[in-house]
Amino acid sequence: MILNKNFLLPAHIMFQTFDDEAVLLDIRTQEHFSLNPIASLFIQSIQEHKSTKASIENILNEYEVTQEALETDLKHLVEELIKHKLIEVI
Amino acid sequence: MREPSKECELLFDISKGNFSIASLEGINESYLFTLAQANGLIPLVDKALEASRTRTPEDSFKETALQIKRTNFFMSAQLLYLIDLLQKQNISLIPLKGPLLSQHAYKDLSLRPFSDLDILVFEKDLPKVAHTLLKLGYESEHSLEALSHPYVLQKSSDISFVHPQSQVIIELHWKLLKSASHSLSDINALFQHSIKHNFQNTQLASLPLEEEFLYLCVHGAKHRFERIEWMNDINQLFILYKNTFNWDKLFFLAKEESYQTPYALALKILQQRYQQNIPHKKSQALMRSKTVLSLYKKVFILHANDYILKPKKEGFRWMEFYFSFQLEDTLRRKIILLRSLFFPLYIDDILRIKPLPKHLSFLYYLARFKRLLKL
Repeated sequence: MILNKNFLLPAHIMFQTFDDEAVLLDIRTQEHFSLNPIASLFIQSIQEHKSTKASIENILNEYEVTQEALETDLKHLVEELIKHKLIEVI
Repeated sequence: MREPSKECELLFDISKGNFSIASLEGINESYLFTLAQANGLIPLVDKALEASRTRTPEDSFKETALQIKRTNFFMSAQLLYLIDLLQKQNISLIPLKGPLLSQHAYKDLSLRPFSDLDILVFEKDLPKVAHTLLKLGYESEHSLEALSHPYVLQKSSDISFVHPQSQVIIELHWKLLKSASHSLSDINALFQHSIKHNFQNTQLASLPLEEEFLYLCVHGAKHRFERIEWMNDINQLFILYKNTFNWDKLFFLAKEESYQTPYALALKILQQRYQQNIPHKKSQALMRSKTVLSLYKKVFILHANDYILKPKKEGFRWMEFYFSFQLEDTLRRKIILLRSLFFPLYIDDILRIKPLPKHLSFLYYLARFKRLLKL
């Protein structure tokens, strides 16, 4: 399962939070992607070099969501992020 | 002498990191906002308010600081994109001020607003860089012929490009300072001694510390330190590097380049406005010169009158000219300043005439008359 892997932000990706919004920006293409608060927290965890498992625990502590629902959402998110080369598998 | 407004004093306090809720007593918040915006200090005021939890429901500081954060982020991305493209063509560059200064002096990209991206490149690379900018959709008001015209390269130091959609402005410099003629004009040495800063996971070249400090002193002085942010930039660098600066080198650079007066003025501001102790005797001596004291007094008066908010008079401004005149260290530079006042020569003037040999370069001034007479 993809969530058993750990991820990192490639050097060409910039991440920034703006109050209640967060953005990932690909420097090479100048394309940017808005993130919802949970996705933003996940990226922040990756940026802090946390494992995916630790990131999931972090989100569960912050938001009232079941682990099952969260993992389903994160699986889709990770697949999208990998597809757009916004994160890389370590 | 008139004292600065409470709002102006508060901005200086915030820029020094001294802020408490009590400081807001008797402050006109709307005026504070306008003054902070003009002085480039909105993010710092916002940070101070945030730290003291002094928030109102409609917080214009927060909203504007957020906007600045967005702009800085997207402009930084644009800078990194350009650097990536240029590096692929083996073109070296040094970003000046802007995102890199914000990140390295303030340790936070969002704390220092910037409105353009300044980059220093080798003269030989100018056509390639300009071509890359044009391909990205940037436009210049001048013909690109300017970038290979020897007299333009000699008399000018930079050219601007604007992106019509994003409104991002890129200033392309081939000299660090227009009138520098020794170490600061030696671009090879600047690149060779440049230091690396980590910026968004990328190692970017930056000016050597002393050169950067002097550059900011001269830049701020040239603009009469009208904005507190220019003083604050210097103060931030001073705090970070006062113990690592090679003060003898800094002093020598200022002397060699005839920038002793702007350098001493900046140090005087640090001493008087930011209560900093300047740890270099020769520099302290410079700060005691009558000219420096007179210039410092003028800067103080500008801020006491919140000059930055006053509508600027049309036409010639004697006070500004006299300030610039006093700022010049040498008679030669004072004469050049006078010449530029009475005989300004613009890039387009030079381009009106085919390149001339050096000994005939005075003929370029005829182009000015050609323009004035609309020939």
